[in-house]
Amino acid sequence: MHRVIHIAIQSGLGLLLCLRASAYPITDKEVNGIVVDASLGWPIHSVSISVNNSIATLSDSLGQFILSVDKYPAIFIVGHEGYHSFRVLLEEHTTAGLRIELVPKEYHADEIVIIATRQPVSTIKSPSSVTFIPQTAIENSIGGSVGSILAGVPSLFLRDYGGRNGIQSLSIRGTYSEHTLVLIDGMRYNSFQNSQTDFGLLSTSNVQHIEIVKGGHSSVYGADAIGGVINIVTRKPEGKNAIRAKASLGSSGYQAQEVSAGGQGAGIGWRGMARRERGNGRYKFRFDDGITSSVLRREGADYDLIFLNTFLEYRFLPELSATGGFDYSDADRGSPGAVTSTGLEGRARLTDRISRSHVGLVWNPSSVVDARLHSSFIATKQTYTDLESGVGLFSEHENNTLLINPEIQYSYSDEGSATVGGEVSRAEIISTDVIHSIRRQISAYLSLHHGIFLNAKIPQEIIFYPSVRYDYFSSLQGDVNPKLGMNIGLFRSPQIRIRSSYGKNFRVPSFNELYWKVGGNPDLRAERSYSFDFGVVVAADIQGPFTLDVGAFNIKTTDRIVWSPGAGGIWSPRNILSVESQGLEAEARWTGFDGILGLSTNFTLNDVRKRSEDYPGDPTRGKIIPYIPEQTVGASLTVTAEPVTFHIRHAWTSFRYTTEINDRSLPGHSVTDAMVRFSIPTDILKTEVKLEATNVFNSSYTIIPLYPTPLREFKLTLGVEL
Amino acid sequence: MIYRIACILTAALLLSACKDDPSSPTTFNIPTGRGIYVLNEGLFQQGNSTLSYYDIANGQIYQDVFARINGRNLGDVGNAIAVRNTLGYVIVNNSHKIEIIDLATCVSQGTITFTAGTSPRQMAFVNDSIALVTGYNNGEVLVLNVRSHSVQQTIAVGSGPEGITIAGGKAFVAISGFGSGRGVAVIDIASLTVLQTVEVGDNPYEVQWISDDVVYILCVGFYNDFNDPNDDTPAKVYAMNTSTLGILDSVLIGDHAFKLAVGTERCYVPVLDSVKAINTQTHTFAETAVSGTFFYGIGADPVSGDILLGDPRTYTVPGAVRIYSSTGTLRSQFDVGLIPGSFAFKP
Repeated sequence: MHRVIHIAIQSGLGLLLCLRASAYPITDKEVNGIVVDASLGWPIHSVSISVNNSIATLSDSLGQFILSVDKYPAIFIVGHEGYHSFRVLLEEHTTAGLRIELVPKEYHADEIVIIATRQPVSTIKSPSSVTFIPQTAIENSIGGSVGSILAGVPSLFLRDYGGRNGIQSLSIRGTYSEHTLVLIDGMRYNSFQNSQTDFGLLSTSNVQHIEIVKGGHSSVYGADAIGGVINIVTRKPEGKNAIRAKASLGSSGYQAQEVSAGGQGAGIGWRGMARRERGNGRYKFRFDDGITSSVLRREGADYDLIFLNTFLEYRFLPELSATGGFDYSDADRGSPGAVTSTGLEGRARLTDRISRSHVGLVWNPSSVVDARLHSSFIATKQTYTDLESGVGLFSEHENNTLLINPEIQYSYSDEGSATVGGEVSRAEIISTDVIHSIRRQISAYLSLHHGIFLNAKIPQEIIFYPSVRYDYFSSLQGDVNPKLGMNIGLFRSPQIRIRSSYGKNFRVPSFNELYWKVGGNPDLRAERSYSFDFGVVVAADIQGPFTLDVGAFNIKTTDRIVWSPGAGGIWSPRNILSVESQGLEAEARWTGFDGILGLSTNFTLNDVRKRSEDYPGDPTRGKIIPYIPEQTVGASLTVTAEPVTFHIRHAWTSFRYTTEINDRSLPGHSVTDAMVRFSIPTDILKTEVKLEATNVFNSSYTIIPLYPTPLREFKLTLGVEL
Repeated sequence: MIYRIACILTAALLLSACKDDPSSPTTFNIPTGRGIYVLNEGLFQQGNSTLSYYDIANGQIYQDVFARINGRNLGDVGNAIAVRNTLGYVIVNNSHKIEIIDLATCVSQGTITFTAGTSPRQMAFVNDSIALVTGYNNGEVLVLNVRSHSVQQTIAVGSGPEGITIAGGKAFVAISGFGSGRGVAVIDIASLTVLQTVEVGDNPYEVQWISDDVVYILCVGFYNDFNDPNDDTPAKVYAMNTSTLGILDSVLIGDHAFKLAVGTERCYVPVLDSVKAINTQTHTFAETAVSGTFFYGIGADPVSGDILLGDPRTYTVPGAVRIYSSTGTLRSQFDVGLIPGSFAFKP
């Protein structure tokens, strides 16, 4: 039996090191193990294993090896001409056997993610469509928010109200933003008040990488995981002491300052960051109402964003470590509203203060068990003030959410493992508009991963991923959501795999829907959904890793909650809407010339239709749901020739209907962004200069009607690292 | 090899059949004969207000006629439509403008654009050249030259002016106070100055001409704490003498009715799920004119005496117009645009 662990991989892509009980008698200096093919599990002979820069041994015909190590920590370098090599740090002697999985060079070096099943799974072996956005992509990103990065992922549609001050929400596969579950470091981040996340308030500066899994995943993550799940993994200590500083200037009065520092030693790792972004938001846009056509500047869209992040980890024992941290953001943003004429715009203001405290324990009591306990406390306070509009509006919402998530992973054999966990939460809202309410949640889940290796050419391997979860909310009856997924390996070179999954999902009604003081409906039921996913992945070496991922999906949602007027014209939410979303996704990526050139392109075709009637003869039945594009196409080019990196991306979005009867639409639009980055390292100082240009070709467009987006803008960033 | 990669990536792009934008205006002419323009408010800040046209003789409805004929959208929140001679004046509240159309053809005769933030609500004509327009946000009545499209003067009247009408040489302006007002500003037409503000009921909203001697004022009632329906005050209609400015009578309507249409010897108020009729001679309830679903817009046909009711349904789907006889018999119904709120009649 073996367990999968996270160890100090120093270099190498997509490799796992696993430990298992030793099958051989070894001395207190000897280490033994086996080297296998990461894809097929076959043993690999003649693999070179060096320790501390000295060739130690070669693996035998069964892929096994035994060698002597005199000094710890020891750096293992494992290499074979047919496979990607890797380096790993072993801090102390172990009598357990090592299991080293090498990734063949024929395959694309795919990433290991946990989002699909709560267990480490390679992206191409996942039962669902998974996208991994690595650190390098974040460093090359254009625009300052997490939303601007996610906008380039197939089937993700960013609802951008324009400018850095604007609210950014995101929908996946034709669902709405309340159907996308957002996690930070694996813990729920969506607001229980409205089930949404404002991606404009998530800075990229503290993001290590992002994992996105599309399709329903309530069997693993519970409520609101109908369209997909986004896990934002924050930056952690990097194993070296470093201090960084950045400053930016840009169009529309943009300026940003950032200081971060981190280090690791004596079992302690730490990291801290402070960042401030400000701007007057007076960006240029083109206004045309059929009478007047002119270039105007946005007014009342200034912003002041402050981000603070701290993180600390401490290893008490080799098998026990603790983490903790505190994140805080303070956003003061103008909210001028829609542009309906050429003159003065609104003066409303929106403030958001969000704090997130988190602590965690990770315990590895044996070679087959990983146990972890994570908790987070999120406190938010949002105010909206519009005292100059005549009517005078002021609203204030406070949300406090405590979430505790214990989890155990157990590897019951070489072929499979299980994850068992639970979630307990307490959420409270104090609001001017919502009845003071407290919601308690108790949930339990089980996620399995079992692979079967076949003695056949086709298929070679089948991996099953069953999962089930029970959720109880104090405002809702208990609910069970199962799912079955599988991934089938057909060919090895090129590697061709098939994935498929089908599961039941739900969304819990939000505080707003249940308890809005006028019209809230405490009798609401959960929204129900069934999600089907099918895809084919091709991974090959075409003078560099190439992947092609083509898939289809179908999401049927019933009992969707819609606000509609009742007696006396009072609006109230009801479970009346049924929607079916189906579509195709295709994404191709290639990296060549030893990583110098990177190309990617993607295409999404999405048909989202209303399947219910609001009243007999409702003509909107069968119509396309507004604001969701039928087609999107994206392409990007990255050239990395140290010390220069150049990145350009282009996105085309088809028209979107803006009415339920489909008689009005926003036209399709194309946007091109570009970035060039100079990174100049010296012995004591690393200097970076980054120039970003958004909307290079001055495209005039809106994502939301009457909310203009900026014309061409520039941003220059200077960074140093000690 | 690079060529092959480029081909694959390019093919993926080309495979995306780039579908054209479906919204393109089609050639269309307003039919001759008598008809009804329905002004559909559209959703706030979504710029989807439309005009529908109903051909009475043929019972045919035509949607979005302003955009189809003039090649551009009407704007954001069509609040009211006023008629003077052969022209219709469409007040587009949140676009801060008035679109002038020829009622016979719906062809644009020009656009009067106000200072942003004016938020025009309703208008009344002094003569063929001068109209008074309430500016909701600025607390003013704008003296508008409809020939030159210029604002000649502004008259400060109080916060949140809504409805306006002219009777007996005076203009009567409902001062809503953004929901907390109680007065009607009375403007002397000759001098264009405020004579006085007469206190009536809670939250004045509509003012309608009944005769040169009488105007009706619909007060919506206070909401007070929006979250507490128990502290609301009910809607009322007040009859005011235009000479003495005294209140002749009042009629308790209930709930928060906010629309008032004047017919022959009656006026109509939609409230909750019915339409109540008031005898404009006795200032008392006549009877419940129509029972049914919630209605948003209301109008009265000056020729047939029919009652026109706008049903917004869910506000996000096409609304419906139902035409009833003055005795409450349903004559016809048809779908229109989003949130039908106002009506105008083409001779």
